[in-house]
Amino acid sequence: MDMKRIAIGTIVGAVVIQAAGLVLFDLIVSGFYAANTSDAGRAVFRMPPLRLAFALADLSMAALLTIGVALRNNATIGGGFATGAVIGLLIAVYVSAGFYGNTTIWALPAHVVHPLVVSLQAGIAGAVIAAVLARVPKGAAVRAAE
Amino acid sequence: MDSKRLMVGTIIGGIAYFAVGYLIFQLAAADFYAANRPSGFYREEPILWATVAGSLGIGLLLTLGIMSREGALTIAGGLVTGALYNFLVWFSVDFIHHGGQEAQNLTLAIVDPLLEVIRGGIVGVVIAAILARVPKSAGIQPAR
Repeated sequence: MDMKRIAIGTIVGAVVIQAAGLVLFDLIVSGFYAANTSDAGRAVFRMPPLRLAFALADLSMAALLTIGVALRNNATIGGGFATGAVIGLLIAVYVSAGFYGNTTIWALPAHVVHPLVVSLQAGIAGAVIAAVLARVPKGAAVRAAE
Repeated sequence: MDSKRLMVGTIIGGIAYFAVGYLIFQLAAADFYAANRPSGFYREEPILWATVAGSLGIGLLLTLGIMSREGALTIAGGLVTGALYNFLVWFSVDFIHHGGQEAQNLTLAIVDPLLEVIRGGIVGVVIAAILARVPKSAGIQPAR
């Protein structure tokens, strides 16, 4: 696997995940999440959140999305969106189901909607990663000097 | 993609994920989690169906990852793919929770993804071993 392409996709993907997350979670659906958070949940949320921790988390997620997109050779923007959306959906289904099963932070509607929002966020990132990788030549980092 | 192999990998992987998770997080490292997790919002009795449904979701993700990588249908390939994917998933999830919740301390956010490497590696090996024994396209062969 081409490490230069993975590194570029990871960095670009992390920026897109952070930006899409701000728009989706802090603006569009923040009211929905607030309405479905229990009192116990409100007591544990940081105000303001640690953005550095979010940035590290986004790098990790972006690396996974980049690997997924890179494994699909010559992925189009649509293919990148689909790959990202599926990966995001599966991760969020697992995490949401597990947290619903073990905690009382969110009510069930939030756990049902959350995977769909994460899927959209990861799909957008996957589309951008595919568009960027299409412009980075394969094996560019390991070509011999001429 | 071969849907029969995908289904077999998902179910076996989901069961293995749940079982290995029980051994690591409920038995081996239970004291560590008890010391680092807050009380107040954890259910006294977990909802089992939700946990099982979640395990199937991650089983599908790991199966897709292993089936997509050339040469991953070996013990070593399954180990590396499962460990890498599960580490990336949990590093992301744990740091999102650390950033968003007072309850998730930094120690837990660092140690948890490392333990998940073990779980992902074991489950990856199980999925690769099972898929290596399921013939390709077995579900869509014409009747003779």
